[in-house]
Amino acid sequence: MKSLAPLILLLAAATNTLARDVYQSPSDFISEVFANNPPKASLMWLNRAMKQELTEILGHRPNALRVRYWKKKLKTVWILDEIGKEHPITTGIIVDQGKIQAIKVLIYRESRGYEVRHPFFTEQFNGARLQEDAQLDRSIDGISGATLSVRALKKMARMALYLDKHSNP
Amino acid sequence: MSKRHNKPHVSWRSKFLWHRYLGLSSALFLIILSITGLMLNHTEDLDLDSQYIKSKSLLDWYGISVEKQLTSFKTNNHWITQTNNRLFFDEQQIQPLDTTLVGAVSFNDMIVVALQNQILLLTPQGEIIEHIGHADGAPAGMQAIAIFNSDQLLIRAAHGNYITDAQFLDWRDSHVEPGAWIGATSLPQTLHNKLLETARHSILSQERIILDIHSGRFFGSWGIYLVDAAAIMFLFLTGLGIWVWASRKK
Repeated sequence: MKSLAPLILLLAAATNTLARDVYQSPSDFISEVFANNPPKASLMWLNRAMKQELTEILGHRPNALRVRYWKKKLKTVWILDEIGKEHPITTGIIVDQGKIQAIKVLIYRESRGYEVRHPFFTEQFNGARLQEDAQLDRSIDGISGATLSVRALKKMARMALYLDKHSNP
Repeated sequence: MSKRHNKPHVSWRSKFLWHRYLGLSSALFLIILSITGLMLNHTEDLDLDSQYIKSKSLLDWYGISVEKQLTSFKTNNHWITQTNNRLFFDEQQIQPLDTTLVGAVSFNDMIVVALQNQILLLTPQGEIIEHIGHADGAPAGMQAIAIFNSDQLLIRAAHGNYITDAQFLDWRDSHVEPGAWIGATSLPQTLHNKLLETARHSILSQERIILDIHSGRFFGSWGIYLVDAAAIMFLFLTGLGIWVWASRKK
């Protein structure tokens, strides 16, 4: 067994270490969305009711008490992290007038399920709105072998739409 | 006719006996592989991937140890510590880490934790307020943190020193040098031991153990050959079973 220890440690390390695929840096994404002239970031503190509603959307408590976003006219941009299986997936979400304009996986750290970054999947979210019950107004087709990443992206889409609603009181 | 008589004859009863004894000897493998296979099929439902092994003998069997040297900063009577790839607020695990802890300091009723590529704002109770990354203006390659003039937060990064405002929205170059950058300190021995134990208990998942039992790796390289042999035996048994059934039918 000792001879296997390095292999096991490597596997254990692989599951705990965040090996990342950066498809676009969050700052580049924000610059691109606002044509190289991004507005100053705004901060949104989550109050108790928001934390409770976000807990229902995410299936766990939000991982921070305040969220940073970028807003110009009715367009908001959110950089959100959500764990797929073990590691956070960093996603950029553009919400325009209460509906998703685009969603893009920026940094992927999981070992499986990276197919969620492809446009054939992310384009399904374009135009999606949040219903009264905090669900998306359309169904999103999954990808075999990427169930948890698909789930994470759906949660982030709902979260961005929810937060966008609160950025326009 | 004579050709038929020369053919070695194996009676269906003899085949049946072979099938029976081979079946009995492979039953244990079949049970183990079926149970572990079922468990692996429902890893998420059973939370096998998020439950970690704490058994000392199992961790020793896998040869798992953690670095004894921990990086720790004391602020407001709390300890911010990095063990291998996890960040702790006292004994409480805050988040996994893919970077290095470079400092922690109290600032504006918050605890500011500087990591190499991210700033983490905590409440005095250790709850995460916000992660501030490069996209949010945090300088790249952070190396140290300090309080300047008692009301300004100063960060030393790869390209120089930076100061920020109370909301961490604006970051500016700065040429000031603080009296001293916040330095790491030694943890009290009891907390040190506790964190080492917690770190060791968050490496080996139950999923890994089940997977290794299923593949035979749990017992080293011979375990893999044993599971291979069992798989070949299952194939042989299937063939033999069909043969017995066909012989009896005749």
